[in-house]
Amino acid sequence: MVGIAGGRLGEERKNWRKDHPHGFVAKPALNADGSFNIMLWECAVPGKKGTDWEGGLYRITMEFSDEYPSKPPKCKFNPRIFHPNVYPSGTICLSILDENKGWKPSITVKQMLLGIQDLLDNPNNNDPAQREPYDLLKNDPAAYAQKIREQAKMDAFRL
Amino acid sequence: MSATRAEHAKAVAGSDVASAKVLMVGAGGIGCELIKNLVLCGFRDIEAIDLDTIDYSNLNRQFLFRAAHVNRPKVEVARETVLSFPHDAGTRIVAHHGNVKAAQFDLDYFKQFTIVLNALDNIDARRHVNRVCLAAGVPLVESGTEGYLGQVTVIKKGESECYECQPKSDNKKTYPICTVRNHPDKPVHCIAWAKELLFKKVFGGEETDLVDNSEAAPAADGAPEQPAAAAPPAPKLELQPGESARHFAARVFEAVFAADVRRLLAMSSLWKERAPPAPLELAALVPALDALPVDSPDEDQAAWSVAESAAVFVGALVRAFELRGVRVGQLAFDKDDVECLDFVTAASNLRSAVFGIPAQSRFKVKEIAGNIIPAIATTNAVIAGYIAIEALKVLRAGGSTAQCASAFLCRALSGKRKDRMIVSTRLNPPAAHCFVCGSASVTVQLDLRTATGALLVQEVLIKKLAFHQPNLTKGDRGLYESGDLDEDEVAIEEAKLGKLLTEPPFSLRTGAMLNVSDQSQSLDCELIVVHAEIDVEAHPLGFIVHGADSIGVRRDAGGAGSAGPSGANAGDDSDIEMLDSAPVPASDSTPTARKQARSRRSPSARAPRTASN
Repeated sequence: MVGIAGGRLGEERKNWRKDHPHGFVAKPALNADGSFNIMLWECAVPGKKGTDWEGGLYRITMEFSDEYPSKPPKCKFNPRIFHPNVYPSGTICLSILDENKGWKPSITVKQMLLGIQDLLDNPNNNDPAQREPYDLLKNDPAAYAQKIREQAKMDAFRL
Repeated sequence: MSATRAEHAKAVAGSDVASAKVLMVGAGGIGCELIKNLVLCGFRDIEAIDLDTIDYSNLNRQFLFRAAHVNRPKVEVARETVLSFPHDAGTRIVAHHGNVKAAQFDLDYFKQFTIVLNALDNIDARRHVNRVCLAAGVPLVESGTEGYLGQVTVIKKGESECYECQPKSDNKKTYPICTVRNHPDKPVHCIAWAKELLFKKVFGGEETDLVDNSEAAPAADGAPEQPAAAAPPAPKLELQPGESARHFAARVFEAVFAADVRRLLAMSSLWKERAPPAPLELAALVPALDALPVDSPDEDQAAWSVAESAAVFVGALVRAFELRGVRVGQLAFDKDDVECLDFVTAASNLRSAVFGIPAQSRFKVKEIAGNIIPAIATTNAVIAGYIAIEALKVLRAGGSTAQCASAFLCRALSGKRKDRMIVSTRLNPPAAHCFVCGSASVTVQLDLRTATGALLVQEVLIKKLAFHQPNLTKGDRGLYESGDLDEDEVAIEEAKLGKLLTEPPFSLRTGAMLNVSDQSQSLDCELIVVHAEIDVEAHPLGFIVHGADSIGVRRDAGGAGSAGPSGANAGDDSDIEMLDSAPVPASDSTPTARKQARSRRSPSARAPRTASN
C-alpha cells in the first residue's frame, strides 16, 4: 500500500494533468524498467517573461517522503542554478518548502512550482544559500543581472 | 389557497424540498416519470444528466416525448415539457446532455447536491455514480425496472449497503455447454443452440461441432474413451458448387436433425435418466422440397407445427442465399432480420421436436434470442413514484437514510405477503467484503504465463471492476496510468498493455499486491494478483476475480457476519440463469428464499437490454 502520500500524489498528478501553467512540467520520474517512481517527480519551471530569467527552463526534482504531505518534498534544481537562495547541492531555500516555516499540507505541486518561479526573479539576499551569487548581487547588481541572462541562454537550461 | 407545491410537501411529508438541490441521472423511462414527480412535488432546483437522444421506440412509454422530438436530446425535451406543467415559481431545471462519466461531473460537482437520484438503464453507469456518491457523501436513491419488476433502494456511505455490496448477475447469460449441445430440456436451450451454434456454423463461418463428444461414456475403468473414435467428424456445412440452396438446406437438416441426433443416441449413458431424442426426416415433413414456397410465414404469436418449422427452415435458408449470396458465412444474428429470426425460430423448434420440448412462437423466440425485456410504462411510473417518496424521506431526516427502505415491485404474488405488490425491507448495512464502500481487497487469479497488461487493465479493472480511469501502482512504482494524458504519454501507456504482466514495467509475480486508484471515482483499492491455470471453458475471459464478486459473499455467508440478508446470496454464482426463468420473486414462502430470489432478480443488477428503460 502506498498510503496517504501515494493517494495525495495521485490526486496531485490528476489535478496537474487537468490543468497546469503553461511551460511548466511535473511528472513522476521514469525508472529503468519503464515504471514510474511516484515518490520522485521531475519538474521544470520556465523563467518569467520580461525578467532576466526569460528563455530558460530550470529543472527541479521533488523528492517526496512517506510523511508527505505532513512534510514538504525536498526540492532541488538539477542542474543547480546560479541564485542566492539555492544551495550548492541545488536544494531550494524557500519558506513555503520549509516544514518549520511556511509549509502547509494543503500546498499543491502547482503552488510550489509557481512559488519557485517567483523566487527566480525575487531573490531574498537576507537569507543566502550560495556565496557567489550572494556577493555578486550585493556588490554589482548589473553584473548579477548579466550573469542571470547568460545562464538563461546556457545549453543546460534550453527549453 | 395559494400555498406552493413545496409548502404542501413540507406539510404532508415534513420535507424541505424547496431548498434541496437534486441531481437526476438518466432521463429515459424512469427519468421521464421522475422529473415530472419532482417538479409536481415542489422541488425547485433540479439538474439532470442524460446522453441519449429520443427514438421513435421510446414514445410508447416516455410520455414527455412526442414524435416531433425524435432525435433531440432526451434531457432537454424532458426539461421543456415538464416546465410546461404547473410548477412552483422559481423552479430551475438544468439539463446536461452528456455522459455522467465525463470529467465535468466530478466529485466537486456531485458534492453540491443534497441528494442524487438514479434513473439509469445500465450497470456500468450505476456503478460509477455509486462510487462518486459514496466519495462525495451524498445520499443516492438507486432504481431499476425490468418488465413487471422494479426496485428502489437508498445508498449512503457508512449507513447502508452500496450498489456494489451485492454481486450482480453477469451481463451475459451462460448455459452449460453439454446441456445445449447434447441434452436440452428447455426451449431456451434449443434457442441458444440455434442462435449460438447452428446459426454461426451455417451463416457465420464458425467451425464448431454441434455435438459435445466429451460426454461419451467413459470406459469401464473410468478412463476417458478413445477420443471420439467411433463418431464420424461433423460434416462441414457449406454450400457446395452446383448445389441449390434447397438441397443445401436439406443436407443441413439431415446433418443436424438426423445424423447428429443419431450420434447423440449412441452416447447411451446420456439417455438412462432422460427421454432419448428422436431424429427427424425432412422427406416426411416436406414431401415436395422443390415445390416448397419459401415465403416467411405470417404466424407470429402461435408456435408453428413441426412440418411448418421444417418448411420455414428450408425457406429461410433459401431466402438468405437469394438475398445475401456470398455474404452468407459472415452474418451475425440480428433479431430484426426476418431470415435470421425465421431460421433460428424454425431450427430451435425442430430441435425442440427432437427432444420433446414444447415449441415457441416466433414472437417469443425473438424476445428470448434478442434478449428483449419489455419496458413497461406502469412499472416505471410506480418505481419513479417510489424514488420520490424515498427522496422525501431522506430530506425529512436531514440527509440520513434512517427512515428509508428498499422497495421491490413484484409480479408473482404468493407467500405471507401475497396481498402486496410492493414489498419493502429495511436497508441492509454496508457489506464488510465490499471493495467499493468498504476497504476489502480484491484478488484476481490469472495465468501469469500469458496474461498481459491489456487483460489486467481492460478486462479486469475496467470491464469487471468498473474502474473508469485506473492508475496502477506497486509500492512506490507507478505501473500504469490513464486519464487526461498527453498524446505521447498515451502512446507509452498503450505500449504497456501489450506486455506480459511478468515483464517490465509490471514485473509481477504471484501474490503481488498492487494499488488501483481512480481519481474520477475517488476510489482506490488493493488488488492481489495470483497465478492460476484458468479453465477457459468455465472462465472464457481468462481470469477469476474474488472479493468483488459473490465468492466474497460466500466466504462471509458461513461466518458470524451472515445474519443479515446480505449473506443470502451465497452460492448464487453457480446458478445458471435462464432467460425465460419463470416468474420471479416470492415463489417460495420462506423469507430468506424470497429475499434471495429478489436480490438475484434485482432488475437494476441487470445488463443493459435492448429495450432501454
